[in-house]
Amino acid sequence: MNRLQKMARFNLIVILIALDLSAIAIGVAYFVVGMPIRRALGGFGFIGICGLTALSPILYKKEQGNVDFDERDLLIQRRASLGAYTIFWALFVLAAMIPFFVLGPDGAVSVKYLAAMVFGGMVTVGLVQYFVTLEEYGWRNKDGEK
Amino acid sequence: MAKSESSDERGRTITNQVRRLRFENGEITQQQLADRVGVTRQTIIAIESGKYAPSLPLAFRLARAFGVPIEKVFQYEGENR
Repeated sequence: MNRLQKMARFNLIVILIALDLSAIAIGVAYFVVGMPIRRALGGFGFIGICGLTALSPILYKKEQGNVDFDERDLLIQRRASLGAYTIFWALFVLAAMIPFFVLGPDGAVSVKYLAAMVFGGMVTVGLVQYFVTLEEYGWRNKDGEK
Repeated sequence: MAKSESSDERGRTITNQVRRLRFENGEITQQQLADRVGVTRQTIIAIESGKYAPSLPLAFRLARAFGVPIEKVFQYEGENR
């Protein structure tokens, strides 16, 4: 497994943990504690865990001497970015147009909705990018010397 | 020894003899070949297994590493149009 794969795997796990904890927190706050939904949505604060993805370049440092990035890695990175931004744009258009059709052209949304779009977009881009990266390299990387 | 195959966007097959040439050139390892041509070992594995068709510059570097013309390393099979 090369450095990019390790970083993608680490980042994907971090994002999935953040999403799981958010969902659990919201579920517990709303269904178990009985908080109103607006307060229970504070469970989204766990998305902040995604900030740990910034640690991946430190955890998986470049090895001296060996080539650890080449044309194939670049191609995989480009495909992953393309996949991520394709999904992002599809969701962004939906997020922007659904309120238009639901609330009408003169309707209004809370500014919280805009912040949710930003964070939702960041999480989506990360999630898809790391998933496609691992998919392109192959999840079960045999990597055997022959 | 089985040839490695990958297909281009027109469905034509690109085969390569990298693995065979590696064994015929002193049984050099995938890592040694990767170091010679400046790529990762994973890329050599992907080329040998036909999962990745290298760029033209890399194909030339591989041919030079083996000291043979490029068509001895890579073959493009399919009808000419």
